[in-house]
Amino acid sequence: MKAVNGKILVRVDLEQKDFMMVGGFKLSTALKFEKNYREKSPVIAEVVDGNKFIKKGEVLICHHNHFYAPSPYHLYDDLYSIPFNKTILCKINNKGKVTPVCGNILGSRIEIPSQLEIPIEHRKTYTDRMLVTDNGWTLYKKGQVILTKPSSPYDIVYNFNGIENRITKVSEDMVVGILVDK
Amino acid sequence: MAQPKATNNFVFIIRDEVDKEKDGLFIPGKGRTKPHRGKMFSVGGKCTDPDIKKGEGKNALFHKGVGQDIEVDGETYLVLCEHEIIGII
Repeated sequence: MKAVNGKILVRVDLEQKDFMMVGGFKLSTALKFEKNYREKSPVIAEVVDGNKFIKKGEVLICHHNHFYAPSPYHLYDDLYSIPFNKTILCKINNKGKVTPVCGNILGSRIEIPSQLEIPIEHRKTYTDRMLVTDNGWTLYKKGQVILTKPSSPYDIVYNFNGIENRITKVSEDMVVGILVDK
Repeated sequence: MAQPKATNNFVFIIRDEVDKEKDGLFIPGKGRTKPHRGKMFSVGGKCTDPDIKKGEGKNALFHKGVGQDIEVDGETYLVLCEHEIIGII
């Protein structure tokens, strides 16, 4: 089967309970993790037929919108034909390295400075800006501070070979500005 | 010191100062309304309207209650999408 109309074909295990074996490594995403500012149910998908940007066999972390039982994107069994857009959040290689795709940016949250010394668990971070750690396919630069719409940076929590990782992503169209030196 | 620079089709605006007095009478904090006009500080590169594109430094009008405030180095900027600006003075 071949993907057409700018779509890609992916294989998804919607009943991912503990972990998924993908390409010989264990991978799982945290489906319920904390309350806010996180992707609710990121879905792991294996590419069956891609395009020039995403190749067959690559492992993607996608937004959950296209993946439900009577979905129009569902073909048969565990095969889905999904549009190639920002709902594909990032791809992950067999060493656990995450690369943002389709206009998504990875970054880290910035702490709100305080003159008082605050314990780590009570420190707060800005919800409207982040530091770029991987710009993906966008023109923003690594190390740049980007300003975003409030609460649009979302966390994805995943477990790769027994090690829990957390990444923060934001979509390019949610970026309202950058910080530059005067 | 850092300053914001707008991207996409967003515009950064510095609101005009709030009137603290009217006809010689002092207006208490609760009674003050935020002005819905301000100076365009930075315009994003993807703005399509030619007047907004060249509008840096000009005054803009917008509806009440639109946009979001972003604070950078003690200065508060109002972030508006291009279509939320209703006029340039």
